[in-house]
Amino acid sequence: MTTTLRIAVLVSTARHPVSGQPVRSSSDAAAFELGCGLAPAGRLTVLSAGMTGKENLEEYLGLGVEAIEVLTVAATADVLPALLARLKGFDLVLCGMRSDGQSASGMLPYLLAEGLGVPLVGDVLEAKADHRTLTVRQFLPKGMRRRLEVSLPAVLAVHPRAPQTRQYAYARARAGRVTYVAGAIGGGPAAPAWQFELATRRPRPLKAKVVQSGHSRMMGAIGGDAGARGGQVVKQGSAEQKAQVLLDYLREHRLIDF
Amino acid sequence: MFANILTISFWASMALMLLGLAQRARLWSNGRAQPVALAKLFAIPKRYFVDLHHVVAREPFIARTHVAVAGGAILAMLVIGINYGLALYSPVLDRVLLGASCLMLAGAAMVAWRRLAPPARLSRGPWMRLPFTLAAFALGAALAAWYAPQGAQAPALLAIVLLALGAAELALGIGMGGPMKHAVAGLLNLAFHPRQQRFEGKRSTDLRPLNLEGGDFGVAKPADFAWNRLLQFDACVQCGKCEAACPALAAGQPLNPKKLIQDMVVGLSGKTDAGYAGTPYPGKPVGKHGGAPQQPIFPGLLDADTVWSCTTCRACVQECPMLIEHVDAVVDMRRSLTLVDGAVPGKGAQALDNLRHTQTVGGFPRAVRYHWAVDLDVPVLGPGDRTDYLLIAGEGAFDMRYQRALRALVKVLKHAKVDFAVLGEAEIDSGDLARRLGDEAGFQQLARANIATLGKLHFKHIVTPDPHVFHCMKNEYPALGGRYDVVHHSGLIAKLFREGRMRLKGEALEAPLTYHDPCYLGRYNGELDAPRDVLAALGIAVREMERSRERGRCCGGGGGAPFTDIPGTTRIPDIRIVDARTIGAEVVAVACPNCTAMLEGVVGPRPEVMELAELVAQRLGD
Ligand code: SF4
Ligand code: SF4
Repeated sequence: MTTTLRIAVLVSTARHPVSGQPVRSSSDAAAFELGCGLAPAGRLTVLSAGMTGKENLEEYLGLGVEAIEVLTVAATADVLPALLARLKGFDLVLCGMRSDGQSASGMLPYLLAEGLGVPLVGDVLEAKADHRTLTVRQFLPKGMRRRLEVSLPAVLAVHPRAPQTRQYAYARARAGRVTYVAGAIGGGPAAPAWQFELATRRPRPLKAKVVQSGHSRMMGAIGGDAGARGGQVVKQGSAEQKAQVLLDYLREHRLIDF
Repeated sequence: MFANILTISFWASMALMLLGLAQRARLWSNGRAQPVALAKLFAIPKRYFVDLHHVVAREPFIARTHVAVAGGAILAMLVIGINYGLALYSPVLDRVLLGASCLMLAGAAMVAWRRLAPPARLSRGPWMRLPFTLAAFALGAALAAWYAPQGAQAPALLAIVLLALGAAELALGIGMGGPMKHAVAGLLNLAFHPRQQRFEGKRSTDLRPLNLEGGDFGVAKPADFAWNRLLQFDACVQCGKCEAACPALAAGQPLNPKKLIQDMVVGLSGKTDAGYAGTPYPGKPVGKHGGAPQQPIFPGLLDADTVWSCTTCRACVQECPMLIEHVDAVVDMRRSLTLVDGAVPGKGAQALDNLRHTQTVGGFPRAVRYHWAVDLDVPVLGPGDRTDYLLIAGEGAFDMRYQRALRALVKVLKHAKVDFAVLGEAEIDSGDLARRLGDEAGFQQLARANIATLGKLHFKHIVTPDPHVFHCMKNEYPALGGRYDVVHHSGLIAKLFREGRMRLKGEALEAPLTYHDPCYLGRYNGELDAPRDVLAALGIAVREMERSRERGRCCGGGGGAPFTDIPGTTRIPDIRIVDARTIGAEVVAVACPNCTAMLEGVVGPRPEVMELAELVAQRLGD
């Protein structure tokens, strides 16, 4: 029933954070796995855009991708026109939320959906198809999830935490095929003049505007709304009285309402 | 008249037996072709009486029983064959026959005695009738020998019935897969054993490399085994010695090496395991699995967790009187699961990904491997440099606990003024884990990369504290062209003591100490004495655990078992610590990074775990 859908999965090469070797992007791999749940692996059209060699895509072949079609686009050019031209007529486009290796701007799914004129669902975890309607489970922060229905055609951007049970298998990687097709070019100028620099291991923390000791910042933070009154240290009184002070504070700040 | 009947029945049973053998051989021939010289048939007697002797002699009662039964039976059949088969009817030979059958009868009585209350590891089922059919044959032969010269008719009938009963066990047993098929398959296995080196006094513990380019991805169906491996499975006598030695079974994991071999027999003959009459896989009912030579092994014949439970410790292989190679079968099946299906359980897949991406098991940057040595001034071997000993730290170098042992080792080497160096950032994983987890492609890549690196350097020996690295580089790299003189650090330290290059201070350790033999050091490489020599040189008397030396019990850390982590009812290291506590040891000395990690992971009161190098470093004088 669902195997009649025309599904495209977009994959891209990522770099391993430790060794820099070409690896699969976690969310793209999740997108492929999600696609396998909707149609047999052999019926999915798996696409990659850019100038990547087979050795860079082996990780996907090892997961069970039978063939990858690479739309060759010059390294500096925009992959969007090539993808838009190739994706005409597909019922469903699956991709990761953002690439791990290239500009990683996370814009591609949105630009694709816009260019194709179809709806986009981001942060997808699961999808089930019923004729031409998809029931989608979406990732929300703090463990929350949301169920959505979307009618096809559509673009789904898959969250890296979507279930991934497929493993790399050497025999599959060897048997998989990669074909190269010249991708359409066009659109505006290529990627802006990017400046490349090495990623630092940890994000740089923002510097505090005023340099204060931890204690004085704490006192400031627990001061009244006006910031005039400092903190209050409750030492005297019975347990009830101390609790009352806390309760008053919480009420005053509308942190509880009883 | 009676003698004529004997002649006829002799030839009839011979024909039956050959038919059965042909039938069985047809099953074996389903396996992959494997060139084995027919001339090896002549090697059987020597291999049977010499090479097998020490394995069988571990159980003197059974050894004697077997001598009586098999010796008596073979002699009796030989005499019957000559005397009646060739229609000589010589009374002298009849007397020989009488002697042979009495011997066999005594043996059968011993078998019966043993089967009165058999140990749990023995299979029952058809094996329980064996004392009777054996006795029947012996009795029949005795009666025949006694009465044939006299031509008496009445007892002769009885003799014939008994003989037929006994002969049927052998003649039909082969073709129909009865217990007696072990007699023929076992002898043929001695001739066509897949590891011929075992008869040349070598250990032969390396795994066979796969021809990946040729599309050899291990064993997915019984017919993917080489024919002589199928033949080997048929040799199993279900004695359960492997079962009694297996740590995975003891820990309640779903593996029993005996059942595994029996399941392979089921697979090669296209049956189900309903006829199995021994200990099952813990937690798995018998009778639900079956297979055929051309059917996939998983999930019909075996569940995957069975082959993932094995720690590849070779305890079963060490015990097996039929020289069956369980570990080879296990790894061959894992190879197909990993290379073709991508189905490694637990954290195994992640470890393999890490190895592929970073060439370390834990996914660490290579640059941090020698951080533990930052203040020790350890030279890094560069191209153009020369050194005597190249120290390979192994994956243990990333582990904080093991770094202590490595530092101790460096201290010892410096103390003895050994000329050594490390690989530094150039060191990558040896590939041992990948190979045991069935990722032969990953192993070959790592091994080739290592061999390429080492080929550019000048060193005389390799020394490593990790027995897995030791085994891998010493025994498995040669097949890929890397030949090195690899020593384990225990061997090197023992040598330093022998050469008088160690100066000790202080008192010997008082606390009762036992030594745990790492499987990959002891059973795989026979290095049993060097660690003990080191302890003796330190003035420590080792209290041996019941399972020690070549029969040592695995710590649970080999074969990727800590990664695949198949649940059981208890844990293998816990069992090992119980072993140590039983003899009152307060310190367990080990000589392996993985053993330290496994044994120190045991919770509750337990002996202290000390690495050999640490014990030595404690006592270094100036
Ligand atoms: S495999 Fe070997 S040790 Fe195990 S039951 Fe069979 S013959 Fe005995
Ligand atoms: S190698 Fe060890 S764990 Fe594996 S089956 Fe044999 S005894 Fe059991």
